[in-house]
Amino acid sequence: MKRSSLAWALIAVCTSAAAVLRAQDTNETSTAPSDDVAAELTKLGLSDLERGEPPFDASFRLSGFADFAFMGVLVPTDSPWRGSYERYPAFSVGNFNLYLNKNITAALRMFGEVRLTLLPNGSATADTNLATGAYASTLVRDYADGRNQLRWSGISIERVYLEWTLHRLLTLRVGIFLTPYGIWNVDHGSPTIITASRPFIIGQQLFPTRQTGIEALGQLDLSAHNSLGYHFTVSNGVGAVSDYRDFDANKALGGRAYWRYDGFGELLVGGSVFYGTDSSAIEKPSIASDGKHVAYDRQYTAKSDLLSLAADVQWKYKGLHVQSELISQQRRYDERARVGTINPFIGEFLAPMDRLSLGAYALVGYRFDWFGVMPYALWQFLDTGELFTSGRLTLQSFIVGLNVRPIDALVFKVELTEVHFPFGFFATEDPLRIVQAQIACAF
Amino acid sequence: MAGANTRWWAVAALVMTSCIVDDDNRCGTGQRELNDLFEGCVCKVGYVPNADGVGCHACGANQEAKGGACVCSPGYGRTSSSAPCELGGDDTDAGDDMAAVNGEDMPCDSSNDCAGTEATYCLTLQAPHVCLVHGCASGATRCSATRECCEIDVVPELAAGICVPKGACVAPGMVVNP
Repeated sequence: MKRSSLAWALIAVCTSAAAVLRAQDTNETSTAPSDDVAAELTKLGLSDLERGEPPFDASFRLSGFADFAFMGVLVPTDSPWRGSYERYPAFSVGNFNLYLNKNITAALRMFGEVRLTLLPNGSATADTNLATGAYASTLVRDYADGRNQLRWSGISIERVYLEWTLHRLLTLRVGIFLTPYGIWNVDHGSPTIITASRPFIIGQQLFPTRQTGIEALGQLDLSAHNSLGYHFTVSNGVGAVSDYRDFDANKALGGRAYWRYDGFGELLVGGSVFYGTDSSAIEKPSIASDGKHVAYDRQYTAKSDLLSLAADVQWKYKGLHVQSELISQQRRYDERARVGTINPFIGEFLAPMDRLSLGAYALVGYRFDWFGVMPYALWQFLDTGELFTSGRLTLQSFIVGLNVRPIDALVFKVELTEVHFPFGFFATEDPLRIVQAQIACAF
Repeated sequence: MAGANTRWWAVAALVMTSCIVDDDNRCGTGQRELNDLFEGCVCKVGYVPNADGVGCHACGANQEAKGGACVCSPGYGRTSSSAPCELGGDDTDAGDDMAAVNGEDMPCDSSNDCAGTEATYCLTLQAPHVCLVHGCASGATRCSATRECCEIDVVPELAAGICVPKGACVAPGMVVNP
């Protein structure tokens, strides 16, 4: 009885959804992409392409961004940083990201972002590689070119989801989405961000960068200048294969709430939370007890609960831009999955420790009308442990730089970063200085 | 209405200050914190890592932890790794080599049959199917005096190394001394 009731309920929901979709499909007034995506695309100078203005635009849109950098360290020639970070200055292609957008109906759209990357060639693929200095090589013989040498590259799916806008108060996404926390993680296009490199707290993934699951979001206008918004997420959580597998029985929950006020410049204040499990495991086959079949034994290689909390504020007034985020992460290991191993750096058994990681940054800049020049400064702090090496990572860093945006779709950046390690770092106690220049463009 | 607001603020305060990490207990069984340039959990003094890498256990009477394994204290000896260390006993722990390992060469059909022993891996790829010590390539486990660590990278589950009788490790296997 219960099962049939459930079936009828599902049929009713599906029928209703189909009816709503049909109604929206025939609605001549199209719906714009959700506000946060629209805002991001606007920053990239792509608003005209992506806005989906009436009449309904069902064409397939391809856009994206790319950045090119020249980076080196400013440390003495005998400093260990030259070996640990980068010995000689080098040119590089950082991001080459493509946005793929298709409005299926007025309310239903498909959106994807892929990053074409030169990785994994040249990257250490395990902590033992970090200790030995070995790195991955993708060198192969190209059968289509006389068996000459070829280094293949990779593709990273940044996000891909189907989005259904039911109302300004409710948009649903299903797929892989960027975790909606703070400011920087979603505004990740290199032409839109002010500095050449992300703050360390973002790169350390105190929140997961992306998740696979369902995201609900919406916005409510309280008055002409006040609005509230929210995001709510349900996902596989975090783990070695969390993009399409879940090695634990629970689902991760997260959310973000924000208040936007544009009565005196643009003020955005938000808070975010994520609670989930970081699980990596193998399913090891063996002969079952009956001697005929195969039994699978799940063995966790790591499993820990994560609670991440964040607060952010951003204020733009005329040319002034002030932005700050505070992020924390608590990680508590499951006692059955606190798996230790011989740490290759210290040659001793070492297991991961429960930990509170904490970090913050504050950014201030001023955009002049003259050639779109913006001098900026960023201070940041981070206290965490590196998962890869188990090295303690406590640092303070200062960045000063210049961001020049002559046109919306093109940005030049030059910046100097200085990093101090008040409790030392396993490579060296010396401060690290990095200088880099970057050109980023949207297309 | 004021009551509802109070409840919301109470929930928000609870979330922001909630804590899942116990600062006084951040490591596993038999472990202590290492807070230096590297951080994590190491075994307490007199403890050694368990074979599966989860937690540490205390060495027995008249034993001490050495190189990640329990060996007899100076002046004590034993006939096998599972035997108690006795005053003036056979000094099989001399040097870095361990004595014969509990469960090693025990017939098995799967690794479940080897559970509870120090030789946790059942070699089913070739006959005879016996329990062997696994994970020796990294030094997480150690081979007895009559064995050597054989790392076979082409077989993923044997890349961590197994302890085989000396001379029995042939290509594509490679003897390693972690």
